Amino acid sequence: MNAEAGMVNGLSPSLSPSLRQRTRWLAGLIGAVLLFGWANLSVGAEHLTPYQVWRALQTAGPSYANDLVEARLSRTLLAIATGAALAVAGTLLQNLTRNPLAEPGLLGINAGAAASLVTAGLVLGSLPAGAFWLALPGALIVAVLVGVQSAYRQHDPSHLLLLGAALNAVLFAYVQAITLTHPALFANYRFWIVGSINGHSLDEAQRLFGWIAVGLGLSFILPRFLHVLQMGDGVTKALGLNAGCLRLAVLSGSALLAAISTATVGPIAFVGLAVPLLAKKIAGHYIYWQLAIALVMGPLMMILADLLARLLLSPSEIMTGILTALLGAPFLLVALRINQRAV
Amino acid sequence: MMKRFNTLLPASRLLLPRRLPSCLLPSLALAPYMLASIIALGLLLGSLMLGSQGLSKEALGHLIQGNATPFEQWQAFTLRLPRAFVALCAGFALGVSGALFQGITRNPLGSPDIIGLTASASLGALLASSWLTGIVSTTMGAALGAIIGTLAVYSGSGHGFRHPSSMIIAGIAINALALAGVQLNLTWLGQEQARDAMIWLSGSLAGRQWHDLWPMLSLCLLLLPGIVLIAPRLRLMALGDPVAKNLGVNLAASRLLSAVMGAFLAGGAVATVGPIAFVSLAAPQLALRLWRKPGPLPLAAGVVGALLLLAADLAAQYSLPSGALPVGVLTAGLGGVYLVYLLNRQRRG
Repeated sequence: MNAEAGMVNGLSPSLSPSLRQRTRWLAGLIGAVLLFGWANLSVGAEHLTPYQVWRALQTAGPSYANDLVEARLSRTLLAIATGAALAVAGTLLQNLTRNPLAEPGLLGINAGAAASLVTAGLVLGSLPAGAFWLALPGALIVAVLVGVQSAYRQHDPSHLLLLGAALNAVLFAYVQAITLTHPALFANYRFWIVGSINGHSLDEAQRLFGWIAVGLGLSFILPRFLHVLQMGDGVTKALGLNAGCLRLAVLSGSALLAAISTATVGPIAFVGLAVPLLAKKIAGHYIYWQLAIALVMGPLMMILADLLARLLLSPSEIMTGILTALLGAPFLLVALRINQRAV
Repeated sequence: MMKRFNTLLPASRLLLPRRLPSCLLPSLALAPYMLASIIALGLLLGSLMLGSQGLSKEALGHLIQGNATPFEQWQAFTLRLPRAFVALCAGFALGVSGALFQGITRNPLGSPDIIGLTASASLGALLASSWLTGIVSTTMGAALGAIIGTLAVYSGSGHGFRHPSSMIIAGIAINALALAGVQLNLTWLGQEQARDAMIWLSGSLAGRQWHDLWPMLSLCLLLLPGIVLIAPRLRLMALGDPVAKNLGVNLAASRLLSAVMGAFLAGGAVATVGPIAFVSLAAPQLALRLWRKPGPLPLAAGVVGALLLLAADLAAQYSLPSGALPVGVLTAGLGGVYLVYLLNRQRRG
C-alpha cells in the first residue's frame, strides 16, 4: 500500500497530507480520546479525582464511587462505539455517493431503523431492549433506495438530501402514527427518539461495543471497493467486477453500522456528517486513512458531546442527540459555504 | 377531478351566447372558485355528519330550521364547526405562504416546510409560550420565528434565494437546528405534557375553538390586499429577473413583501394548528395543475390548501381503523410520497 497515493495522483501536497502529518494527527486524536474519555469518567454532576476513578476501576463491589464510575463507563463505551460507527458509516456513504452532505440521518437511514423497530414492537407487543437487529431491515431497505437514487443526478447534492427529507417525513409519520395509538410503545419511543447514551447497563454497552467492533472490522474491506468504484463504472466493468454488487456491499456496511448505533442510542444527528468531512481534510483522498481518522474522531466528538451535555446545565443533562444537532447544524452551514468556494 | 373540471368549462360556454359582452368574460375565471366553494360546502357537511357521533339528517334539518336541541347545537357549534373552519383558514394560510415562497425561489421545493420555516415558527411559538409569556403572544412568536428562520436561510445559503440547491441545504440545516431547539425545550417540560407537545408538533386540529379562529382569520383578511397585489408581480418574476425588471417590477420590494407575508402566514398557521407538514408544498403545485395557468397563483393555492387540510383532517379523524390521528401525521405521510414523485419528475425534466 503506497501511503503517498495522493501525491502520485498528481494532487497538490496541500490536498494530500504527508504520511508523517497523518500519523501525527492519528496519534494526537487517539491521545485526545484517551484524555477526554478519562475526563468523562471523572467529571459530572459529582466530580471524582483521577485517583478515585482508578481505584473504582481496580476494585469490585458496591460502593458509591464504583456505581458512579460504572454508569459513566457504560456511557463512555457507548459514546466511543456509536461515534465510531456513525463516523465510519458517514465516510463510506460520502465516498460512495460522492456527495459531501451524505449522512445516515439526513438520508433517512435512521428513520428506516426507527420504522423497523416500531413495527417489531407492534408485532411483539413491546420493544425488547438491546435487540438492535430488529432495526436492520428498515435501515437496509432505505440505504438501498438511497443508493439506487444516488446513481442519478450526482451533480446535485440537494437532490439526495430532499429524498432523505421525504423519506424521513414518511417514515417518521408512520412511526408517530403507531406510537401515538399505542401508549405502551410511546413510552419506550419517547426516550429513544431524542437520542441518549444514558441509562444503558454496562453489560449492554459492552455487548454493543463488541458488535460494532466486528462491524468496523468488516468495514475496512470496503475502501477497496470504493477505490474501484471511484474510477467509474467502465473501469469497474473492465476489471471484471460488478459495480452494482460493490455498491450494495458498501451500502449494507454503512447501513449496518448506522442501524446498530441508532437502534441502541436513538438517532444521533450530524456526527456522521461532520466527522467524515474533517477526516477527508486531514487524510486526503486515500479512503483507508479517512476511515482510520474517522474511527478515532467519531468517538472524540461523541465523548465531547457527552461531556458538554452533562456539564452545560449541570446537574441536569441535555440529551446527546439534541446537543449534536445544535452543534452540527451550524457546521453544515459552514460546510455548505466551503463547498461553494470549492465548486 | 381534472377531467370533470375540463368538461365543466366548455359546458359553461355552451350556456352563454357565442359573442360574450366583454364585461362578462372574467366570470369564467371564477369557475374553479365556484367549484371549490361547492366542495368546501360538501366537506363542511361531512365534518358535521361523519363518524359514529355525527349529526343525523334530522338533526341537520333542525339546525337549518333553527329548532335544534341544545345538545345538537353544542355538537355543531362547539365541537365540529370551529375545528372545520380553523382547518380551512390554516390551510388557506399554508397554501398562500407556500405559493409566495415557491414564487420567490422559483422552485416547488422552496416551500416553508422544506426550508425550515415551519420548524422555526414552532420554536418561536414554543419559546413565546414557555419563556416569554405575557411579553410576546404565541402567534407573534411563531411569526417572528418564521421571519428569523427566513433570514437565517437567506444568509446561510451564501447566495440568498437565487441558488435553489444551496438554499435547500441551508434550509435543511436550519430545520434541524430549530427542531433540536424544540426538543431541547420539550425535555424541560413535565412528563405528562410531552405527549401533548408531540401531538402539537405533528400538527393537530383537535379541540380547536372559535377563539383559535379569529386571530388566524383576521391575519388572512389583513394580508388579502397584499396577496392580490403581489400575485401579478410574482407571475412576471417567474419569467426571469431581467424581464420582470424591464416590465417595471420592483424586484427587491416584491421579494421582501412576499417573504414577510409568507412568514407571517406560515407563522400564524403554525401557532394555531402546529407545524402541519407538506400542505404548503403540495397546494400551490396542485393549484397550478387545476387552474391550468402559468406562474404562482397565491389565492388559488390558498383555496386548494384550505380544502386539502379540511379533507385531510376528516380522513385522519374518521377513516382510519386505529382511531383518530393528528392530521399532520397523515399530511406528512402523503406529502412525503408526493415529494418523492416531484423529485423524480424534476430529475427527468
